[in-house]
Amino acid sequence: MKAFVLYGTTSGNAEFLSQFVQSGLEGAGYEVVRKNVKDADVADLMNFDLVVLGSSTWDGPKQEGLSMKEQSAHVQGRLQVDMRAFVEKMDGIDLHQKPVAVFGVGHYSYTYTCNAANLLEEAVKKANGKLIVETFRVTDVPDLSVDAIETWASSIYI
Amino acid sequence: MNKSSRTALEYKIILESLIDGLYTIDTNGFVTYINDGALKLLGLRREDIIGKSCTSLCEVNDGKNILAAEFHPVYEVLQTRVSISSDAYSFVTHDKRNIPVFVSISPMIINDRPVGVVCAFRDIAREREIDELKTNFISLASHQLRTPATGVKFYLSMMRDGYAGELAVKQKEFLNQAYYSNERQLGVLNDLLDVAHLESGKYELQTTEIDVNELVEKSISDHQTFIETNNHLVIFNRNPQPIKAQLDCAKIRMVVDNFVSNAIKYTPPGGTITLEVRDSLDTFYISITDTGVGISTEGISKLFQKFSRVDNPLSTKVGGSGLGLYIAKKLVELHNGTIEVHSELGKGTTFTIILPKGG
Repeated sequence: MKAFVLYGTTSGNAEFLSQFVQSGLEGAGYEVVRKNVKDADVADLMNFDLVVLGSSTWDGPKQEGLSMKEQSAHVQGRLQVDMRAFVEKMDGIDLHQKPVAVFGVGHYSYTYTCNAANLLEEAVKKANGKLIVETFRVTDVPDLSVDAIETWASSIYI
Repeated sequence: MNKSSRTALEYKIILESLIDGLYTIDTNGFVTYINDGALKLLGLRREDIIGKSCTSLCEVNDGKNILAAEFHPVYEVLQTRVSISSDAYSFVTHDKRNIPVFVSISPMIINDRPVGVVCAFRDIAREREIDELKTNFISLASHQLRTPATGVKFYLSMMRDGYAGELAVKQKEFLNQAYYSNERQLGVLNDLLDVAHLESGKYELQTTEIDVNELVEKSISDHQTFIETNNHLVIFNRNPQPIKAQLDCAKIRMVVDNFVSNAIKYTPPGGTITLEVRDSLDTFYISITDTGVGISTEGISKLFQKFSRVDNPLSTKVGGSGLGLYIAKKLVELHNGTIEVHSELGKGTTFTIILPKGG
C-alpha cells in the first residue's frame, strides 16, 4: 500500500510532525512518500492508496468590524499559505472516495487553533475524498505530540 | 552562586544593557525572551508579552503593506534557515508609531532542527532623516549649480557659432576646451539630480508601448559620431520580430545610452561592440558586448555602487561621475528588471538588461 504524506509548513512544526506520521505509517506497513505541499502536484494524489494532509493554522491581519465568524471565514484561522494554494487547485477534482486522513497543527492559546484541520476536512469532502480516521489535532508544543501522532498514523487502516 | 549561574546572569546583563531591541520566538510564534531595549522601543511591558504570539509585539510593514503573521520575515528565516539583515521593514506599535528598523534575524538550531529565531533590531528613524536631508541638499545644490552652468553653455555656444565675431584659431581651441569642460560639469550635475530624485522615492515612471528594436537602434544612431571617431565596428542583432513592451521610454533610453557610451569609452579604437535584442516569453533582454578592457571580479562587485570608478587603464582618461551605472540599475529595478554582467580582463564585457514586457 502506498501512502502520500503532504504537509504545509511555515515555522517547521507541521514538517517536524509529518516525520512521525511517516514513521507511524511505515510501522503499519505502508510505503510512504512525504512531501512539502509546495513541491506537490494535485494530480499526484491519484497515484496513492492513502493520502495524509497536514497543515498549520495562520491568522491573517485582523479586520475591524467583522464578527468572529466572519473573521474565521475571511482572514483568521487560515490554512498555511502553500496548503491554501494546493487546496485551491483541488477545486473541481474528484478523488472518487479515495481514503484520506488529516492532521492539523496549532496551539491552544490561539482563538482559531487547528482551524486548518476543519478547512482540510471540508476540502476533502468537497473533492469526494473519504475521511477514514478521526482527524488528529496538535494543540500544544509539537514535541509533546510526537508519540501520539505516530500512534495515530500507525492505526490508519484502509 | 555557582559558576554556571553566574555566567547566565552575566549573559542576561549583557542582553539587558543593549540599547538595541532583541527578542526570540519559538516555532509556535511565541515570544520566549525580550530585552529591555525592545520593550522600550516598542512601548511594551514584559508581562504583557512573554508567552504571547509575536504578532502582539507589533505589526510589521514591508514598506507597502502590514504583513500577515505567516509572511513575517521571522518565518522566512525559520523556513530557509538563512539569516537576514534588512532595512526594508518598519514596526508599527500599538500606539500606531511607525518605526523604521534595521533588523537582523537568525535561526536558532538545536540538533539540526530550527527551534526558533532571534531577532535584533534598531530604530533607524534618525538615519532615514539624515539621508533625506542629504538627498534634499544634493538636489538643491545641484539645481543651484546647474542654472549658472547652463548659462555658461549658452554663451559659449553663441561665441563658438560666431555671434561675437570671427575667432582666432587659439581662441577657438580654448573655447572648445571650455565648452567640453562645461558639458562634463553639466553631465555630473544631471547625474546627481537623477540620484537625488531616485532616492527621494518620488520617481514615477511614464510608461508607453514601445518597440525595443527601435529604441536600441536609435541609441546606436545617436552615438554614430562617437563610434566613427573611435573607429569601432558596431553589430546590432535585432530580434526577428518587433518586441512591444510597456516601458518608460526616456528612462530605458537613458539606461541603454549609458551602456552604449560606456562600451565606446572602454573599448580601444578598432574594437567591436555587439548589441542584441531577444524575446523571452514575458521578458526580453538587451545585451551590450564590447571587446574592451574588461572588469575584474572585484570591480564587478563595486560596479553598481554610487561614485564607484573601476580601476583600469582607461578609467583615468575617461571622465564620469561614477553614478551612471548606479542610476541605470535603479531605473531597471523600477521596471522590475535586472542587469547581469559577464566580464574577462583584457577581453571585454557583456551587460545584459532583462526587463518584463509588462513594465
